[in-house]
Amino acid sequence: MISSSELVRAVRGPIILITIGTLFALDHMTPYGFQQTWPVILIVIGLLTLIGRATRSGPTAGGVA
Amino acid sequence: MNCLNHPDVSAAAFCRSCGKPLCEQCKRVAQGTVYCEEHLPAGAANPMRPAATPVYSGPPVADPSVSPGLAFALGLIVPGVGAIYNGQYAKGLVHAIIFGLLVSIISSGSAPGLEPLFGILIAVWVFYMAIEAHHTAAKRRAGQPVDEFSSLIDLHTRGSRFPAGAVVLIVVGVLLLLNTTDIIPLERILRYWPILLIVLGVYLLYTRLTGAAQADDSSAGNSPKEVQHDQQ
Repeated sequence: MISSSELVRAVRGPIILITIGTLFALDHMTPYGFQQTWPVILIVIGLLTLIGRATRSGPTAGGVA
Repeated sequence: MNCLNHPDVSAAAFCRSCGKPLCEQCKRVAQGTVYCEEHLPAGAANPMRPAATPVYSGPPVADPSVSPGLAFALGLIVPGVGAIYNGQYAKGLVHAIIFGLLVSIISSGSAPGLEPLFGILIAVWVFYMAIEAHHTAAKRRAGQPVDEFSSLIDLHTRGSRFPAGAVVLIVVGVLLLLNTTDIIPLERILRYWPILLIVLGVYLLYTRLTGAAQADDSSAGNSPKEVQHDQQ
């Protein structure tokens, strides 16, 4: 069984990579350049951290630190 | 692909060290990743025990071949390589990405007027990566266990009630996004910076006034975490 906090940890890296890839795709295909959209990465990392904290304080708390 | 030990069972995971396919029975979870029986790190020998219970399983093995000086030099020359030298590949990638972001922010000119700030940040970051690699290598040489995302700033012992780091990251991200998309220029937002002082003052007041009641709570809540972090 995989707990939700483990799941969040596991998907963190891929989601950040997907975000960066999407931003570069937007850079090439739409008028939105990477120099305009890069703060999205900061927001995504912040959201992932928030979600990770929310799941960590759940019933399976203390398993991961 | 099937498990190496049980050829009739399909693999559920792969060992992080050797890449061996493993079924649910053979996989060993330690330090947040999967290992096989042989490569399970010392100090995580019992997979059935929850990681939260402090287990002292003998002194970890010191590795005299690890050179903190080499880690410092590598970390200083190429971003992220210091962490990779310490076997922390994910951290090395994150370090290199942050370095690249800082450089690209300056070179793209998307933060007009803030170039000096980002220049200082790049210098701080370069030396942080090198010093952090040195620190981690010294810990490895002394035989202390090292977390995959170990850092000089202890992220685990801080109060767990308010996720300050995440909120700051999101707020900064939103502000910079508004700036780069020309919806609200950063100069117009930065004019209101004294509000930060007011908010900080209010927050400190709040913690002082409610802190007395919660002091017992937080000290009781934090101490197991510190123990756990030391043990990692």
